[in-house]
Amino acid sequence: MAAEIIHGLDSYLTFRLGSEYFGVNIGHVTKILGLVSVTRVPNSPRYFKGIINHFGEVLPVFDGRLKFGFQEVENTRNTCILILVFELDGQVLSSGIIVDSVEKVVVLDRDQIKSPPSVGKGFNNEFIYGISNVNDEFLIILNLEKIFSEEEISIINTVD
Amino acid sequence: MNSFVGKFKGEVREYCERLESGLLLLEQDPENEQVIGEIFRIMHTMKGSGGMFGFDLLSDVTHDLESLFEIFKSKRHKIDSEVISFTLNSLDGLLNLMIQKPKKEHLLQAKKMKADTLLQIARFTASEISTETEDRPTTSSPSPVPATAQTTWYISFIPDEKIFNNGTNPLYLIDELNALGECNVQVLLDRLPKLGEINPSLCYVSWNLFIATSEQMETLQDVFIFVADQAQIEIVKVSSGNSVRNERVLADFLNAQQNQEKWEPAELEIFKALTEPGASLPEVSEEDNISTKSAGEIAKNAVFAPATVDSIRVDSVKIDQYMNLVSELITAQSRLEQISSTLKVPELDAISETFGKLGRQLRDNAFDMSLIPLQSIGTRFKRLVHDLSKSLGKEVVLVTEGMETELDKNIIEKLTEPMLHIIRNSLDHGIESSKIRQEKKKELVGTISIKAYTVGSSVRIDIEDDGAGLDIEKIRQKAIEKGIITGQARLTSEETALLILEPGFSTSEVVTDVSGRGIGMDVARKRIQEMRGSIEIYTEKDRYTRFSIQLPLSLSIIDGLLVSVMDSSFVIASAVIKKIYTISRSSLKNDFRQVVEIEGIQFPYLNMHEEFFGQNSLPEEQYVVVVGFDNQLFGLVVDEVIREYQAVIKPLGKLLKGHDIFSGASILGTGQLALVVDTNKIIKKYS
Repeated sequence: MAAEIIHGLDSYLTFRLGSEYFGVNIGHVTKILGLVSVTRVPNSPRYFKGIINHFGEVLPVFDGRLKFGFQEVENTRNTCILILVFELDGQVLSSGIIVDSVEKVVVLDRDQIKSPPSVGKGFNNEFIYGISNVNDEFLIILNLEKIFSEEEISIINTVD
Repeated sequence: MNSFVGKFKGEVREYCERLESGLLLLEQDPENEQVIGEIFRIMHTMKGSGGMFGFDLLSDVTHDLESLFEIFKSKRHKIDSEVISFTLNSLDGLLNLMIQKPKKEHLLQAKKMKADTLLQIARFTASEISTETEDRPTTSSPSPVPATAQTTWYISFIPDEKIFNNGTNPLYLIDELNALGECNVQVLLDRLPKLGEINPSLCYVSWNLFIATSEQMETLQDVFIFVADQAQIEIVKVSSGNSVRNERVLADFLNAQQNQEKWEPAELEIFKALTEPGASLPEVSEEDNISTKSAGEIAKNAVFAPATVDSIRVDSVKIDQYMNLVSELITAQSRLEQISSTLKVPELDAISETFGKLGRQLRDNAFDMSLIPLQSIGTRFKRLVHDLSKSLGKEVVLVTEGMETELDKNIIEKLTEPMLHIIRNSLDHGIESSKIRQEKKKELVGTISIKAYTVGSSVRIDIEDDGAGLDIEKIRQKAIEKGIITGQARLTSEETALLILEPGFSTSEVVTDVSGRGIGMDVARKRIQEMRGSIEIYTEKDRYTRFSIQLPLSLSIIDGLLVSVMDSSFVIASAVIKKIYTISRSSLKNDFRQVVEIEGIQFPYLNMHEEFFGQNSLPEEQYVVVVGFDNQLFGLVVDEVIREYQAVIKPLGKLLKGHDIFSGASILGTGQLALVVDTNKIIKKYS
């Protein structure tokens, strides 16, 4: 039952959040869900949307737009939840993240991925694994382990 | 291969547990041959498979232990308590040696254990040489009976067809018998199929065998000890003396055997008596010996019965997954029920109903599987009492009752430590030394009893000692001294006794090695409360102290009350709910102290609506659910009370672990989630 991370793939699932174009390694994606109803958990930060029932498992869901500092927008029919797996302290965990829309899968060689620029655009550099260029657009490849690291999560415990 | 090694490690742990309980049994009944035999067999298996998986040290040390028990098995000497204690201590060491790549410290440990074991062996064999006649040749033959007193036995050995799969060669067993005495072996080929149908990996042969030997029946049985569950073995006494070459007696006997179903046991007895030259009728056969054992003895043996194949080992993760899937099925089913009730299609209704029934059965079944008997930790208690009473110089027996009571495996795991702590306390502080007990005119041997039983949907475990009891006045003084209560506090003796569970309370003037280490009583109580359990203490001076622990059957399913606040649902455990009142907004107005007064009692409250969702659309009328914790009342103000609800609690997962006012979430029939409120944490946080 437990989801597994598949390592060593060079495909990336791309999606949009606000004005930006993002990607995650396909090995970390287990499912793309339509927008299901999310149960709010009181006393949590705004970017933490709540929990969902995913085949009998309770998964936390984050709002990607708020998490990365974009404006909250109305949900559209393209809004969906990506179910991601990642490793934290040696434990494989699953979590959902709400994105504006899912684009496509791109194949990138290692040398097509550049290290992130040292000056970001008001966006935490730590979250970025690398930058690539897909059809003349910058694709930001996310570092999931960093995004969901303990320091970040502990914010959940304090009231926004 | 690695998975095999993992399995083997699990098995060794199990073996050690079985050895432990066997040894403890032997302490009461040192001459129980069956138990000695079983211990010997387990050691032998451990040695063999240890070597096979490369645990050489383990197998090496076990070999010596096995030799030690060989002495008792062959009845050369009686087992004594020193050996039992020694072997018990060695078991812990054995688990330590269960490694494939030993380091220097392990080698040293193994060396020491081997040396110690050899010392034990020498203790017995030395006396052997001195007590027995010197002209006796130093062969290993343990036979104390003169060779003339031979008996003829009939052995029917019908191996399973698949016996070869275990690498057993039946011929070796026949050889072994041959070494024990004169044999007359008949090979039976009646199971042999036609040539074309022969599968070379199956065993079709069986044996009829007569042996004249001076050995006891046990020795013959021991030959087959490792194939006992892969073959039909029958050992029957034919006659006294050597009749192996007397064809007529053998033929008569075989005839009788084949017609055995037609023979009444008594007639068979007579027949046997007749075929025995010079034997008198009322001679008691081996079988009779077994059946005349007292009921108590049989019960004792039952506790330590060799494992049979009526249970299988399943990874606990798999059980958890199974539980998850079943609860998912239940959820899906209640959706189906909803749909079928709106569609009103009779055929669908019928299916949905059957589905629902099966689902509930499956749930009960899954639930049942995750329960394990308290017995599984019982040995640890026995061991603790055994070890501790020795080191404290007190004589204590442990009496258990209802150890077959089942609890969720997660609870059992978490329960062990608090229970061990309570028992440790009873041994150290409760039970007096035999000198004092004599002065008090009590039985010299102290008793600690563990009694477990089911009460409704919870389990109660009473741990009682017949020791000095708690000194209520002393506890009171101490509590005032420590500032736990004020001098004015009026408490019943039960309430006072509970003070020993408060953090920072310890009445023993001398911190002993025994109960003065590890977790304190306050932690024991905390652990129990974390499992939504409670603990009470009853005591009478010089008579008894009883710790009464109450626990839910399962951690994952609770009886709860479904309530709603705004558009969210929450579950509150029924066990803690005292009362529910309706309440108007105005009576909650004195927000200064956040206290509500109902029926003359004031208690703090938390308006979940305000706290979680703000002042928006706060209804005029709300409900206050009064929950109790530690004699303290607390109100949870909710918008609606929906209904009672049996909730399967799902953990919120690691990412939300810090969020501790909710102990989990439960999936409702609609597929929506309801958060389960952890009332203890809420009270702590808000009052």
